[in-house]
Amino acid sequence: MSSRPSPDSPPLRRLLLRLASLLVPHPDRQEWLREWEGEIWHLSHANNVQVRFCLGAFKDAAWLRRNTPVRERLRSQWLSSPVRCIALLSSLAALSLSLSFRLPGPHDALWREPFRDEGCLVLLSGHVPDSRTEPSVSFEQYLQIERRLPSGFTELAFYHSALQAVITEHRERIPIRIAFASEKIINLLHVPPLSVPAGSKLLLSAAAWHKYFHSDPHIVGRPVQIGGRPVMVAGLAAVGLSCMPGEPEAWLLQDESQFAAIEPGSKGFVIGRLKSPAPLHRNAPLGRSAFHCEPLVERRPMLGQLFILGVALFILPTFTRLAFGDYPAKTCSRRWIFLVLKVALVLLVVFFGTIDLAPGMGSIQPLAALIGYTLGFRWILTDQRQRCPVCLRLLSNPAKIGQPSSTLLEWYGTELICARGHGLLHVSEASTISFGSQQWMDLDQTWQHLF
Amino acid sequence: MADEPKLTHSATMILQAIDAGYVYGLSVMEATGLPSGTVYPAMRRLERDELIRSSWEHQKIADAEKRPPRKYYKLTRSGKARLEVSRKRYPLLAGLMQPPTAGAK
Repeated sequence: MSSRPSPDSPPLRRLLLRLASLLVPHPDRQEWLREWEGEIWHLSHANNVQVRFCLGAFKDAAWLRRNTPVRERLRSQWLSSPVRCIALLSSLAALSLSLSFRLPGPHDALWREPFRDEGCLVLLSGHVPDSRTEPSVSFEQYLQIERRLPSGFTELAFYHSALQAVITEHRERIPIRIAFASEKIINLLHVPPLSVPAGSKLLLSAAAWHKYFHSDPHIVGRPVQIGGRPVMVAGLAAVGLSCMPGEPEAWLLQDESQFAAIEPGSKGFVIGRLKSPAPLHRNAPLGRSAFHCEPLVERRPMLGQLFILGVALFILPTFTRLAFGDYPAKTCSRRWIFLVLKVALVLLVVFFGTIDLAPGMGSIQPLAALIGYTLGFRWILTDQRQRCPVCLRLLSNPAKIGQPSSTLLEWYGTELICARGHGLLHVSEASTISFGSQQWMDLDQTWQHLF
Repeated sequence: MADEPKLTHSATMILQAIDAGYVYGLSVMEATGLPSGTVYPAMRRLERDELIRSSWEHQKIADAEKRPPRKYYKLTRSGKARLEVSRKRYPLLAGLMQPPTAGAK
């Protein structure tokens, strides 16, 4: 009476089989489907058929999926075809690039200019191993320099940082690393001015706002106490202020009178503004004084990564051989284009990938980048050597040929074949005078009936 | 042989069925009473362990009968040896499985 198909009608069972086949790894899918469709043909002609038979196909397909190694699956589904290989690498590169735009840490490190005219801003420091973490100029020294402003500078500003307890309205004590400065530094850095009344005010970094105040949207205008004095939270600090030397989590902007009461021996950081952007060498001496000046903003990721890349290339021969083997000259251009594409994409993946993951890796980030570049280049070379020079697909069916004891008579090693019948690759276990590391042998048309 | 893992009851039943002449998945299901979700994965496992091997029916035979070709299974030498050992563990198994009739085969 009803026009609805019964649960065990052939179209429904075929649909179930097609769905189940999606679980089967790609190289086995056709044969798997062929076997089940062969069986289902007999089912559909029998009366005691059950849709349960088709549901069992899902278990079978899932078993095949579980028992195909991930490496094999990746290799056969994504890496075998040159187009899919490039597509996979492009996707990874696009993902790591887009993450570098979306994640706040990598975005600031790579793309954001913390100050509008960062070329004019310099850090003045004394003789300390790391001028960005260790304060090296006393307040007294700063006042002396400021009185006799060196040529080329328009102004200087001083701040010092300390771990100080911030007491909230609810008498909660939150220890925060605070930079004590006057509003002069805001003017010097050309950070947008604050439209709040005079008096001490606190600017929180975005990270401190999230960490200590749980991203409270009503934080602006709240009174807090620092060192027994009432202070108003004026807002969030500009991005540039969060990456200043000393890594302050908040800025306490004081009146000039309060600021001048800093102890003369108190050490801090001195920021200077140049009249015009001048190329400065790191630690360039500042006239006759004992201080050095260096760019306030350091673009470390690019230079650091280039150095790591150089080290990776240097140590690469210890992990894999660099030679590609002997191939016919006619196949060169496609192979080289493919190689160049792979190199470019792997560089992008590792470069942006390690910068994206840097906040979670901390100090091991350079080591991770080195390992990433080395493994990436090693994969590029190994992959290139295992491809057919004609169709650029991965070679398959490796077979051991010969014996080590017969080295003097003929080569021994592994023979791989192009599944499309373009040729054979002989990979020798040991290079000899007559046989290099690997040789490609074209198969002519007479072999085509085998493929 | 002693180091090899013992076959499960289902796997032994499937080996026994194939040895008795039920040589494709559907007939093994009918002979053992096991569902398809058990029989086919078990046969893949047995094939991976080289206890059985599969081969496709010749296309000409299938074409002559106007149906798709089937995949047939057969015990390997080691499969026969493992079945002999398992029969001692499950002595009633051989009596349960009768050779198929010509039509069922």
